[in-house]
Amino acid sequence: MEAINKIKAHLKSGINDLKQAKDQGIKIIGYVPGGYFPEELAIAAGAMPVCLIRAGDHASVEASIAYIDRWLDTFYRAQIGSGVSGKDQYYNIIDVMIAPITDSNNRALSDTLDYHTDIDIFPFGVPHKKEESGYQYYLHGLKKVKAKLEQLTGVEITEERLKEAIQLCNKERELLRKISLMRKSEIVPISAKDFVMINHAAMIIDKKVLIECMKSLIQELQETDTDNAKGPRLLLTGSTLAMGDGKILDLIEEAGGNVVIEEFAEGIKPYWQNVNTSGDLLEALAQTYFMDRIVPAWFRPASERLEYLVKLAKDFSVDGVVWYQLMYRESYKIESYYFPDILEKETGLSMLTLESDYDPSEIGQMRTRIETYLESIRR
Amino acid sequence: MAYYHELLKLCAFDGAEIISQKKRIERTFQILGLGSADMEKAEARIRENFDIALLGVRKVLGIWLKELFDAVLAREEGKKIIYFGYPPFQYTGSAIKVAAKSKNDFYVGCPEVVLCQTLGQIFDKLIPLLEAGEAAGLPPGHAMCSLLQIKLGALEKGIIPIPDLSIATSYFCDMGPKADELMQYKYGYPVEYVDSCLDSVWGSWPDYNHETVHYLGAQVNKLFVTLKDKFGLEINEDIWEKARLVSGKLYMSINELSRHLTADPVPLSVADTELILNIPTGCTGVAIEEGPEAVRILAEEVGKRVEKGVGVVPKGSPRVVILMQSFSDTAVNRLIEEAGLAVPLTMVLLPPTRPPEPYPYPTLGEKRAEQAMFTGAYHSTYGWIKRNMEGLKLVDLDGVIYTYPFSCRPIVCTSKLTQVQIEKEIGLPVLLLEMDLYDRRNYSIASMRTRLEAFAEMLKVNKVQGARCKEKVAHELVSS
Repeated sequence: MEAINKIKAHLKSGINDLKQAKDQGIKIIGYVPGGYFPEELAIAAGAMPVCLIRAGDHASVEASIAYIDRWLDTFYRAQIGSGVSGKDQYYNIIDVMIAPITDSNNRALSDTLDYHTDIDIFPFGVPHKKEESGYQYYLHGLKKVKAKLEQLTGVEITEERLKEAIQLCNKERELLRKISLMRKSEIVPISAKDFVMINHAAMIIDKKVLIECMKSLIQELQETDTDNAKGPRLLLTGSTLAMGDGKILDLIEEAGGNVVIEEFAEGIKPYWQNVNTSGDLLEALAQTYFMDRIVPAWFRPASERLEYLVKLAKDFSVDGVVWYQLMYRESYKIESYYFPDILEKETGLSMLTLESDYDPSEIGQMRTRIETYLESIRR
Repeated sequence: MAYYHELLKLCAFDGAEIISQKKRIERTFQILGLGSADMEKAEARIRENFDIALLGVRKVLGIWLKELFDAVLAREEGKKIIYFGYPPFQYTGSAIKVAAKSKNDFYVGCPEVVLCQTLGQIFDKLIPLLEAGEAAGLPPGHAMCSLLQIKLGALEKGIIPIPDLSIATSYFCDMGPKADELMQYKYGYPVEYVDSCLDSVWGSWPDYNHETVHYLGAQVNKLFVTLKDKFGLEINEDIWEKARLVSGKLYMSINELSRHLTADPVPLSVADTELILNIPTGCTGVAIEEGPEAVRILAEEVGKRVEKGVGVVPKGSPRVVILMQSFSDTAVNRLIEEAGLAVPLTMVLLPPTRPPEPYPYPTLGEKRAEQAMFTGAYHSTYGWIKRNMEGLKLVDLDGVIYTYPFSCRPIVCTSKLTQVQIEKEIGLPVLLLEMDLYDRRNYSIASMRTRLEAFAEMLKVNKVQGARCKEKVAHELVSS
């Protein structure tokens, strides 16, 4: 598809686009994934947001060994490795790293890079409970981020600028939602690999460019009769699906499975809710990014997420669930123990749990397990 | 004579106490499946691993056994049960206990700590609980906290009762509250999560963000409301002050003991001091009542050793501070001294730094939150490291052994940064000694011994060279 190819090309040249922008004096705002940094703030400050979502290569994990213990989540160790290496183009280009602090893993990233590199780290806390006091704390964090970005860029984030940025991001969310929802039908016009690629692009490339590409893509998808739904329909969920960690999608596809919906704390940008453009806009951002979104596993409790996964499984008529998590992400590991029980009771479906440390030696075992799981579903 | 008589006598129970507590003791051991062979083994372990020449040590061992009886029998004895996670948040547990109309109405504690001290240190019977915890949802091979595996395993096996409420701080450690969520799913008990964010900027401790105190304070106040609604417990400033005074008695005795521990030679093993340091972290009951006197007796006995120059390692041995001792394995606790190093202190016992003037926060929750921020660990990684470094500067030391549990994420986050910070700012060599405080299956004593011996050799050489260097400088000064 032409639009897909265009997005891929833009994604490929993403770093060059950032370099060009930087040469023109535009500030580059790096941020830690997880969906708690509203890109709207960076855009409204006249800066370019870029998510530090690339991982999957074991070399980055190895590079972290001298700086952090191995008992932390693989993705965050990989980020530490990339950050301290001095060789990662994205870490090298950012003017600040906004770090929403959610759990010990990204706290370790924020602290380690702060100590060992010259990167300007700006942490702000994300509470673990959806309550009024938590909402207020998150809102306070957004105000600090806004002030930081204004100071960095020298641009005042006015209501007008923020509203424009929200409208732009709402459009992006709307289009992502529209494409994703197409997969509810029996005929699945877009593969998970392509959808995930677009979602990743939404964290890297210029929004206006992506929006135009997605509009064309939707038209192409409406006209196509390509059906990707050849095998069992799957829900893919877990902790992190990084850009560059494509093996899980490759293996499922090679085994004849068909992921029709994804839910990840990091790596799949939340796109289900739009931000209200009336009233206090910072409050509107806090409402959508904190109160309305589906919680990750590190919320207390996170039962809302599990209920939501059941809903997704039903809404997208899946035949099975693949739970893909990274090593030492304990909140996901613990959930993966008792969620199959809930899933079975609510839907009659089974679940396959897979774990990765971005180690190439995992692939053989993973392939066997996926093939076996799909075989069991087919029977 | 009952099969447990000798063990309890060894742990300083008096005869009348054994008789009056007979039913409770036997019921506890029945639930735990401990028989006469276990008592004999426990006696041998105590004689081998603890300084039983000291009455204070024996009394503290006895106190832990009494805590075990109370934890195991709490439900059968009709008590309301409230568990709190490790590490506990300030004096919350003690405040709950003080707020209760009668001390027998409630069991409030951290039962997994009690199980470590007793089924671990005394009976060496933790493995079945760990295995049960692994099978029930906290699997091996994933760096799951073994303290939580013990709690889950004990609930699974019916060794400790299902609580009426569990209090979890939900921001310092991620695994604790998540494990509580699992246990809530399995056993249906309610959990009160006390939340905050460890988002302070690097370098900011002891300063803190007022908003963080407001948020944490609101969470603590909410806990107080839950306690009132659910149990009729009123936690206010008066109650808090009473709880502080109750715990204060124990801390006064611990301070008295600590003063002696800094002597050269160090008069008491870390295997013995470990028994004391966990009393305030795991207990609110009998250990808090009887602990101060037991520790005072121990301090007196240890003081006499200091006067006589008696120590557990030779005078002049290199002196190190460690982060924490094993809660469950005395063999590992003795290793450092066996390598010829003196351990006068753990990080917990480092001299406190002067707190800043408190801000006039209007609520009790906020006041407690502010205090928690100042302790460092609840502030940030930097706060934890800096707070410890300020204490280290006040003590005469030759090195630091950062004995840390590999499955504790909040500590793992700090290990390498602690090492570089201490080496850079204070100039003390730091050994990172990865271990497990609760599960002896997760380390090899032999490999730890090798690392410790190498580190000890280096410190001994440093000490000798340092002394020679001082002599040379003194000689040159005299000559000039």
